[in-house]
Amino acid sequence: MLFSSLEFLFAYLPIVLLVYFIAPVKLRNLWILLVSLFFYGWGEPVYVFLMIFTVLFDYVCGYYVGKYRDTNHKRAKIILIISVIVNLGLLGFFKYFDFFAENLSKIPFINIPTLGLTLPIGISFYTFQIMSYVIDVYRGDARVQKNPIVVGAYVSLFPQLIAGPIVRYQDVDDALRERHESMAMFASGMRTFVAGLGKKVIFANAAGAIWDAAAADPNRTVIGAWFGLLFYCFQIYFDFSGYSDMAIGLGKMMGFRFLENFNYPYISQNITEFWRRWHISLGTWFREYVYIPLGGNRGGLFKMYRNIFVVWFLTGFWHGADWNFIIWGLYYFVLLVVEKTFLLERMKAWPRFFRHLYTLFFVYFGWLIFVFDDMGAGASYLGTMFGVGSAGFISSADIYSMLHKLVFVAILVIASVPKPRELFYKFYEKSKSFRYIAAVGALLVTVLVTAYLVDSSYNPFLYFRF
Amino acid sequence: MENNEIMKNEAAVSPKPKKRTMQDDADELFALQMRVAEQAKGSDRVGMALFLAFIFVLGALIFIIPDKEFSEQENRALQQRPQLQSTFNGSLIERIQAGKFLDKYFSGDFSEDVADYYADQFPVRDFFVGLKGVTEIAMLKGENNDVVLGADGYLLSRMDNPKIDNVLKNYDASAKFADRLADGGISVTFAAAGRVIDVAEEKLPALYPVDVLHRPWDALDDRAEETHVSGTDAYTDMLYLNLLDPLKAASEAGEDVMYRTDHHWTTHGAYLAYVELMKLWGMEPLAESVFTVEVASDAFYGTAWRNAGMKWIEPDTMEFYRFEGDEDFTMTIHDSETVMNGFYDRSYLEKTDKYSSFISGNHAYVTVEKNGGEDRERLMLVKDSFGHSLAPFLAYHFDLEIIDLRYYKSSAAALAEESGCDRVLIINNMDSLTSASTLGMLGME
Repeated sequence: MLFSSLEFLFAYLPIVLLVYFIAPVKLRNLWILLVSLFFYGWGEPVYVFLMIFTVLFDYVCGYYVGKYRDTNHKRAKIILIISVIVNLGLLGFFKYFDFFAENLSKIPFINIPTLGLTLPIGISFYTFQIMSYVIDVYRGDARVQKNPIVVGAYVSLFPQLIAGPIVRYQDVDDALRERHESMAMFASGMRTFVAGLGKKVIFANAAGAIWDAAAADPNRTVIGAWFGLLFYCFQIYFDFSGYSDMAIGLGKMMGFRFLENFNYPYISQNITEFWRRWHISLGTWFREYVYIPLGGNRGGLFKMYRNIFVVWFLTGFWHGADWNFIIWGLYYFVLLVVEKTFLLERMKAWPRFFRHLYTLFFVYFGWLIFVFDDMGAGASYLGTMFGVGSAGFISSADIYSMLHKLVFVAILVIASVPKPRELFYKFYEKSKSFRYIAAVGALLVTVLVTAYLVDSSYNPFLYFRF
Repeated sequence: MENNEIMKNEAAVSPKPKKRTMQDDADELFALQMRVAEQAKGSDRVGMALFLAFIFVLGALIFIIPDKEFSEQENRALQQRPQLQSTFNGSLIERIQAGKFLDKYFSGDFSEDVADYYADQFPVRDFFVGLKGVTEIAMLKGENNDVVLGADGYLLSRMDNPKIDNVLKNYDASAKFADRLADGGISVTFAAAGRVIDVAEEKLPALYPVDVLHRPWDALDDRAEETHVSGTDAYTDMLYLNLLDPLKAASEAGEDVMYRTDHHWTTHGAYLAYVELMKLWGMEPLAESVFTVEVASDAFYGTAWRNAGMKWIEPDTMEFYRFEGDEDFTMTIHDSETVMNGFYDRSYLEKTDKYSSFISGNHAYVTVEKNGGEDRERLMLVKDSFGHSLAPFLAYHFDLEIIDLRYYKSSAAALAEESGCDRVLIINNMDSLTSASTLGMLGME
């Protein structure tokens, strides 16, 4: 189930909230677990069993890691390693088996059949999350959770189950044991949720439709290609950050505080900053659980670059089991290393505008690598951007399309910078009437989102063609 | 333990002042949110109440309002309340043994049905569809759901990426068919009609890329010209008529030849097409003044209107051009073996799909004959729905064998010969010609 669906907004959410706040505090984690499993099983009911297995397995691992941590460190470490292997093994099997099978089969005398399994929803996210539980317990950053229901609620927590943010166990340890839902949290969470909903449904979906049309256009021009890819940049940002906002908002409504996952990445002045602002929870996870355990920047330059390489290879590969994702990860490895070795220092002398342009330029082409898992199609798109195989430089259709998307692009640009939110809180703090306007505004956005969702289902089956 | 050491170590390597981190930003935002929330108890109550009321009330209404079974506007059956398991007669144990326990849930059908159910049965759906249309126009996108808002209340369905290939295949199949029938002395005419966006081009907003619209027409005109050079292999004596140009000229002169809200031509537009055909065949068309114009409906909301979500656009008026004695015709719908008098099925005027009142809409095979057994010339009309409003005019002169190759799956050539046709008219609008190579069916023996 998607948050941006009618059945979520008008059936699942009201029922979940109603029972949650009626239920005694003690039963609330159980309720979260039950509805999260239901949420999880919505698209692929069979995988609920996989989820239950993961929860029980890591509950037991966490329990024993905690038990032996101080008394028998070696044993604790072995259990930790088993837990990591099993979790990554499941992720590897479901997500990467076919990729390896296909590529290894290209070697003579090797022939591994592919399985064509459906990817269990959110497995990339929740695997990282559950690993953080056992690792945090091992490191002493979090206490053992003796109640399997709470471990289950943590892993399957429906707000961030499908698309993050990846919540580290230590960050919600306290909230899982005891949290204080309040009207202030609920109202603030609701606003964050509604803002995310609007970003996803009104911005990302519309931008996505424009990108899809550009990608499929057989008469793509140079300008058409550049303009089209711009909309993918908007789509992926509003889609992903909108989804994170919805998750954060839903969590907050129920008394959880998840960390922000996006911090206006498109205003970044360099690539290093971009990655501090983009998908923050993933970057944090890799730093905490990969980069630093590998030694971080300790142990000389070679080791540091090796560690950065490993992180970015894995970051790329985590995004999808295809070569383009690996290349995309390594593309950022190169950029980040170049910045780290000399560019960041030199760039300080550049005008702000140039630094910004430089960042957006590389991010823009990064998305081109990211979006085409068929790299032939990606190359041909790149070709049309530079006049190879394009239908001319600019067409009348481009001019018309750009003209009519001007306002939309302006709205998207404004929504990508921090100013609107700053102004919102400034007025919100000062003006009582603005607060009431904002209350009605949240309703209006919800109504508008509903309109977009209802309309997208409006596909008349008619004699339309004739 | 180890981590702390590394962190300390890193701090030692870079003794710079502590940088502001994303965590600081996040903390600050959260603190701000909580601070303002404390002052905002009153407005928070209002905001929460509005939001919760909206999702709870609409959520409850879906369950309370009885399900609609059929959508008149969209012309399709609607999803009914989804079931978790298939119907099964027997005890729970037998059900489990038969694999019918929550089977629809486990197969994933249930969740798909729920999505469809919410989409189909959502309360005040029309309001929401209209709201989205208004929002899109307010963002100056100029269109919604691929329907462009044109001048004078015209709604023009976009036609992007026309498949020129299909146009040529359709033309060539027709030419081949014409040559085959020429042996039996049957003359074939191929006529192409414009879509609203072709004909009412001047209603489009400034800078609309009309060159895309011209492409299939240029290709078709070129092909027709090539195949009329005598002595070449491609030569055909099939008559070709481009109906776009005359209708476009009329539209530019301010005549209402196309519906503003639908994709068809108006009855006046069909009349102009009829005049062009008669001229091509060297026959005398009836003057427009001969007809008595009957307003069949002044509330015709066409296909484009239903897609556009622009509810402020006024409906079209639909007319029947009546002539004396036009009820002394027998129309036989062979698909359903229905016989009617005259050309109009008025039951459709009560429905959304009003255009189907012309010769009772889409059927595979229909014949129209004048009562009284007069021996008249017989014409086979191979058509898409643009032929429906043209048929009454043709029926004044010819007995008609009307087939629609989307549904008629037998040999058109055999029908033409066996029924004793003197003439064949193949008429389609450019959307039909580009979207599929339906006329390939003409090759069937």
